[in-house]
Amino acid sequence: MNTKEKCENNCLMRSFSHDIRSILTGIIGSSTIYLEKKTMLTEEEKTSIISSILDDSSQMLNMFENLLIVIKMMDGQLPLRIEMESLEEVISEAIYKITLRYPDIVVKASVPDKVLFLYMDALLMEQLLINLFECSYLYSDRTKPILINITNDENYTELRISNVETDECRNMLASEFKNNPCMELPKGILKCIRMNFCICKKIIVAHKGTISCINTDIGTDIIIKLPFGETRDEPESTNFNH
Amino acid sequence: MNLNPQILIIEDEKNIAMYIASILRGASYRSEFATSGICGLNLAASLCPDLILLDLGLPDIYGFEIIEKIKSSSDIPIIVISARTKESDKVKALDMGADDYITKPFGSGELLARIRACLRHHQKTTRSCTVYKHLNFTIDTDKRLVLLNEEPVHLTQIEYKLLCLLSENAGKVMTYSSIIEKIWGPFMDDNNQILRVNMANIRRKIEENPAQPVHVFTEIGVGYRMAENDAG
Repeated sequence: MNTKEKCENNCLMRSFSHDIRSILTGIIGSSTIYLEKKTMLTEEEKTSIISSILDDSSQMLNMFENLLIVIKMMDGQLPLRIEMESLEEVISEAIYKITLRYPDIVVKASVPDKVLFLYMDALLMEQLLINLFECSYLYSDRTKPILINITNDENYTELRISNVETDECRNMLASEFKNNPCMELPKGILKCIRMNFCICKKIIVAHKGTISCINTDIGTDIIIKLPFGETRDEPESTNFNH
Repeated sequence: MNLNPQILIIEDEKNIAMYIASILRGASYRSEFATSGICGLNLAASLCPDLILLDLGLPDIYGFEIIEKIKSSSDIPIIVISARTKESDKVKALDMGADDYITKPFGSGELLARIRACLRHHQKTTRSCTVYKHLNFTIDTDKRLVLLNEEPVHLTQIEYKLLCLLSENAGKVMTYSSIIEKIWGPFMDDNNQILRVNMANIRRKIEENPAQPVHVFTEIGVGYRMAENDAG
């Protein structure tokens, strides 16, 4: 692992530990209030407290999935399990899983008539999509659906995911994809977005694809390009940090 | 005498066992729990429960060993409780005879749906159901008819066989290898590409949106699961 990668991974680990601590503080705080002030709380307040605990726990669950990826990357233990996968199956399972976590999320996917098979690590790609959906759900306009559109040319398949964030995040996102992710992360919700995107970027790079974003009239579109050909270098496995 | 199904929970995390027990109680199932593999095996032998929920990561015995021991002497359905990252463990457990799996963390609805499907499938030897119905989709195996919105769906022979197999096991996950063996025979190689192509074609014929199926779901790295049968 080179110095830049070490620096990136260390930044990510620091961010994870900070964010996990923050979310846990919220969960401990909310449950303490519930237990200590139960008799003074209205039913509405009780529901609100329990809902916030559930939301925080769901968010933390995804953070742990990302954390596992980062730990494996740091240990150099993440061989990609590259196989021919049906892209629509990966998308459909990612939508199914995010819907279990956030039942009111609305994702609309459209796939080409022709069945697309791509070389990928399906579980990593699924995690990438879940990250993007979560960012969109948590920080975008929830009244608008998240749209996924797939197109392909001779060499690449393109996934375009629309409505990923609100106006306030656009500039940060644009710079995120252009610049080195190894930098001080901004406060608050932007941090979660940036962290999720850092993981996404690493996953796509490991698949020899590209990830970029463009601003549109209604938000930002994330564009992922994945090559049709086999993405691994060696028959057995490819290290994540190549 | 309480004739509601009895479920044995073998799970070393007491909090999770209590959580599961309370879900089961709410759905009128009887439950017992064991926090170790040895205790679980003893209770399985003495209680003969209607179903076992088994956590693979027990402190004393490998979960796989428990599946092997229970399945060698009985046909009690087993649902494995598994961590998300271990797809290979899920496949191994299913191939060793476990009837289904559920991934932590899970909600009460998901758990109860798995249990229902498992118990229903287990009782099928006594009552066979020839009609599968889910929302606007019907398979009538007596009439060899597949209908979507009351209109016949034209399928190839393999596609029809695949749908029949999945509908017979509706609600349960079926691994790639078990499907391939049942449809193409035991000598087919384990390349599941042909299965995926057929499943993609089926999705285009029976799902409104192939990327967001409502009848047949994919479980990445494991297999396929058809939605539960509304017709019972």
